[in-house]
Amino acid sequence: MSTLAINTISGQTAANSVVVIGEGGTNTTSLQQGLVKAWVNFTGVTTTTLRDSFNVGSFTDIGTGKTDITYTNAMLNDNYSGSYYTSSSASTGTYSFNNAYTGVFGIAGSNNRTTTLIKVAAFSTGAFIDSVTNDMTIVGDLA
Amino acid sequence: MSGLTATTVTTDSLVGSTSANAITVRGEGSATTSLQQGLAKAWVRYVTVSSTAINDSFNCGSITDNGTGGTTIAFSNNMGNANFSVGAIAGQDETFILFRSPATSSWTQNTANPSSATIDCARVGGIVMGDLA
Repeated sequence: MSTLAINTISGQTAANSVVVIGEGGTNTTSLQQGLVKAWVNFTGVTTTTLRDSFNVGSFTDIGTGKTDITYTNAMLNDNYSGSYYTSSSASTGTYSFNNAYTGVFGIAGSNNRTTTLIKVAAFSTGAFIDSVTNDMTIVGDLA
Repeated sequence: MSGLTATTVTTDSLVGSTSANAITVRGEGSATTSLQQGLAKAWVRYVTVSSTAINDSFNCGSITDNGTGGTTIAFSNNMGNANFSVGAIAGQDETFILFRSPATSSWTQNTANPSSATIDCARVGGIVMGDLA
């Protein structure tokens, strides 16, 4: 097996475009587009705190169940995608389907998704709730 | 910093030159990102109807049926800590999904219907982002 030891990968023709042959050996995919640009695991209970993250610079509790997540390196535009999961429970057990739980990208009346931050909110039975388990992943174009 | 200019590089493995676990990738614009942190460390699609089975997966060694709607997925290569981030979707009849019991060697997902009753599901997915051991 050959191994390439390298610090930085950038495209030769276009710095922002590197192609990788996929698992099937025929089709190709984009290295840049396939990488997740940010991810975070945090708790909103008592003190909103990061457990672990990538490309998250600051993290602000803006109210019960509501959190601003700011990127270290901004996105190119606000058309990115991702996922947000919340247990919608302050309990460490987090094993209940009775919370009528949901998590959303965005908060009513706010600029929810910009190149530099995204707002997330956790609900339980119709009210915002500080939740012990929150997982978010962002994919899209880095600035 | 090492320099290599080539149109196509053929290799079986990538490691960082200065630090084996750190490779930087030029992003879509001018900023850079981390190859290691940007890669999903595991993903799975599985079924829990009739029998619990993996349809397809990456870095998932085994799957355990914990009863109706409950499934534990074990990593082939463990995570470095239990603070990883999970995204998941259950693709059947408005099914909800819960995560619990994150550990370096596995994580658990449970599926339920809008009435909060746990149910088995024909299509369940999960993706893990975080630090590999």
